[in-house]
Amino acid sequence: MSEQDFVSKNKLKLLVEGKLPLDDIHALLRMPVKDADRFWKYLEILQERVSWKEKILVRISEHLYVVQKGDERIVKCDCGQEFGDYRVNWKLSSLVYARTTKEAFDEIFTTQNKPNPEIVEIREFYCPGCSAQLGVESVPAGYPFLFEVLPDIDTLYEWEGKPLASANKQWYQDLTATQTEKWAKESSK
Amino acid sequence: MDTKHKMLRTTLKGEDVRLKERIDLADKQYRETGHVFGLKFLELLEHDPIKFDKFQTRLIAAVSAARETSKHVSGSPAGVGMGELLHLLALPEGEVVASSFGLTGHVMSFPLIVKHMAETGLEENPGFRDGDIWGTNDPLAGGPHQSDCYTYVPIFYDGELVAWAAGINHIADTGHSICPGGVPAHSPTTYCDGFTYGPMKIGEDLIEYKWFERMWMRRTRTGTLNILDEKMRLTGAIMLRGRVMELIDEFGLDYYKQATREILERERRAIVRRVRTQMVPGQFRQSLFRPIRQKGMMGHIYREADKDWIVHMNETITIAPTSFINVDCDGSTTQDYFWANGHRGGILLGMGWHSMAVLVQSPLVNTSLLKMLDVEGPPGSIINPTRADVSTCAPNVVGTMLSLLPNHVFGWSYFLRGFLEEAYLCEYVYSIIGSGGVLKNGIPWGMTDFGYVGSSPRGPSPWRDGEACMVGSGNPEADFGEVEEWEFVQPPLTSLGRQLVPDMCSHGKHRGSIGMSSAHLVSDPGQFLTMNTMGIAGTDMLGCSVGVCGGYPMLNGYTMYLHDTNAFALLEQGVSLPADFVEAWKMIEAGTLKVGSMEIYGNESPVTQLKDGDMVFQGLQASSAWGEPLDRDLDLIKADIECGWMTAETARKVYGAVVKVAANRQCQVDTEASAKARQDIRNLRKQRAVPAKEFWRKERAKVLAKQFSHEDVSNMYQDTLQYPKWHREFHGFWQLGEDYKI
Repeated sequence: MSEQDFVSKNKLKLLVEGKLPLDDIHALLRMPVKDADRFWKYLEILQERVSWKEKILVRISEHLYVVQKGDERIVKCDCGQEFGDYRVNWKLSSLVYARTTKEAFDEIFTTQNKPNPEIVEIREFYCPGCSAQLGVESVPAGYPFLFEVLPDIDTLYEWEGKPLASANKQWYQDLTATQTEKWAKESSK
Repeated sequence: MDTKHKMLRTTLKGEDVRLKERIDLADKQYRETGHVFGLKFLELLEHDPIKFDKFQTRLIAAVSAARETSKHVSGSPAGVGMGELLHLLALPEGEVVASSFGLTGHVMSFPLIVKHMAETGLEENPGFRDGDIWGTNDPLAGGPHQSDCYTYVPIFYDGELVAWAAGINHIADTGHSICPGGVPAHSPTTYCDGFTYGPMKIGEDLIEYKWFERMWMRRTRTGTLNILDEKMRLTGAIMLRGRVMELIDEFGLDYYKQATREILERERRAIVRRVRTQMVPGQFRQSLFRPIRQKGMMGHIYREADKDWIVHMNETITIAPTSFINVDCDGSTTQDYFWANGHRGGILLGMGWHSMAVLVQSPLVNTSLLKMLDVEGPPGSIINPTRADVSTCAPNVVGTMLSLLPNHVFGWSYFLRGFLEEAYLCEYVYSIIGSGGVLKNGIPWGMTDFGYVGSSPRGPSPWRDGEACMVGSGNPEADFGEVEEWEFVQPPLTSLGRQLVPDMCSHGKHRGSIGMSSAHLVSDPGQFLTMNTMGIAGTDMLGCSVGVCGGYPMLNGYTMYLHDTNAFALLEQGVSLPADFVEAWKMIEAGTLKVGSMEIYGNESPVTQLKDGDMVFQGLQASSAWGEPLDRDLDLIKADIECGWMTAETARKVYGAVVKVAANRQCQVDTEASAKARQDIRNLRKQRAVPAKEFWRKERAKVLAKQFSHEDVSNMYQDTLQYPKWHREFHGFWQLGEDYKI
């Protein structure tokens, strides 16, 4: 049996859903050579799980994807909420709640060991559409939002042997500061 | 060239070339061709792969046999019980070609040691000769920290240097001047770092010099154990030397030399293939923070070290189109008079032993990973210290903390590409107790109890929770060691228990591992007893700055010292003593356990004096979580409660799971009520959160006004913003003018 056949789409779907039996997962771990079409099967499965039509280019989180929307590549939540250009940290389009007090920490850390709110805050980033918790940061106040992942999508598709027609070096750059620059200008008006 | 150098004949072709030139040539070949030793073709492998694999397997068998036999020479629980020992075979240039089980990260450090020897003229004076024994534990020469001692012998065949055979282990005590043990929480200068030696010749004709034994007795608290460890390392190295010479007899010298190089290139290609076919390239940002507190402790003696810090480890991890992985630490804290100076041997050790588990995933441990991964930091920062006087006692801890973040990225990257089975958070979460004193009979002692180093939690996957005490990613043979053996070498410390602590975990769709606790009772400490703790889990701050996909980051640890307790009276009454800090708190609140005073630390603790009847509790090993907590399967929550790993109250509060618990601990989930509770949590989120733009605007105003929550936070920014990339990111995010300064 080839690697491609061994990892059927159905088996991968069960893995994605967390339903694949442990023995089968161990068998996947033991594969000396992985199935070469894994990424494409994965994209198909992910696409079938969402109700919207934009093509998923790459998953970047449990709930978030970079999708092709017209000429744009944007971040989209599985609920349909859009977060704009994927080169701008998606957190700038989220809802933010920062835990800064002992009482707020006590809600999520229920044993005696917990961080000190004088030196650290816990930021939770929610989807404005479905309220899913998409990210958590534990940082001192004043710390910039961490841009956790900027995927190099064009290289990924090259590695997969199917370069994107829209490939361009401009797609692999951090544009977060362009957004905050706009906000700063608005504030100064 | 004199006769001594002629004897070395160290190139592949048998010409007279010095070690430094060989190393430079190997670096050049790799730089120019992208292949280890410039090997574009793997001729031996392609010609006869069965013979090639047989050869490689025999090398692995040789290093394994050396370790498995020699570890019984040690008197330390770490050596015998936990197998905190590694034997390795390296090429003359230092590249490690085969390694035993054990502390595998050392394969990344050993090449630095050989390079240091070549660069500092040790080849000329005293020279390398057959039968020599060499040793070092100096981080400035490539070692990870003083506790990790290297003993190694050159292997000559027919008069030609063909390899190094090395043994490495973590010793019980380094003779640190402030903290007994070997991983100090405080080290204001390198002159407190303890016994630091080499690289130097410590014996000849395969017999160690007598004076070296005296040095161990004179300069460390556990001379006898350290001498036994020295003999353990040497025993394995000599065994390995003999075995390699037999293998050369069998396979021929030319085959040996070519095949050992091809092994490295083959393994490098395997890593490239793995990255290219299973990961997502791109740029990943992570960081972590660690408060270090010395203010008020050092003032009269080390005024320059009398400060507090929040140490910032800042990382931009790039998986490049070439598959090369770069960890750029620009923006990390500046070197200073604390333990957190990350000299290169420790950085690579930390990076190596954990990334090995995620990227190599094979028993074929060698230095090929060094060809595909690098860590860089600006000169003068903790990632690249330049001063000779700052402490070198814990670069390994810096490296291990640093490695958490790329390993997050690697696990996550597998997930993004669809290889979920490979995805997990490889977090090495341990804590170490350093203790020591003087016994009643006047005998000084010291010990590093690093049982937890040998058995870490396994972080969660996108399909499985984290699990406690599962792996030693730094030591594939995970083991805590026997608690009785640790008691034997820490006479005043009686173990009350090691157990998992309910609710002590980071929450998520797949929660982090349940935290572990240790408890000790001080019994008959003799003339005096001191203790300090340190480790990888966060101190007063979570262990890293981001969880994955909405899960919470690694929970910080906990250290609690209870002084003047009624523990002995309770024992006389037949009352069981608490076996973890949660149980201790319950007994204190109930008035059963009486305490004169207590000291509590969010993990790392200073040197603390302990008396008869005092108690010590530690909590640690709660790894990060994966995914949004409200996505957690209710059946998994039910199972946690039934196993006693989570309380129904926490399940309700964090996960919105409404679970009824019967007297026999059998649980029933109220699905309907849980759905409503989860919706309530979502509603609360919407009610409390603000759009990011609003948050940014308010926080920016504080940043502009330089209003930070704490002086240490302000100092951290003031220091780290001198580094250019971090400066650009910080200024760009908050839109600060160039004249902005903290």
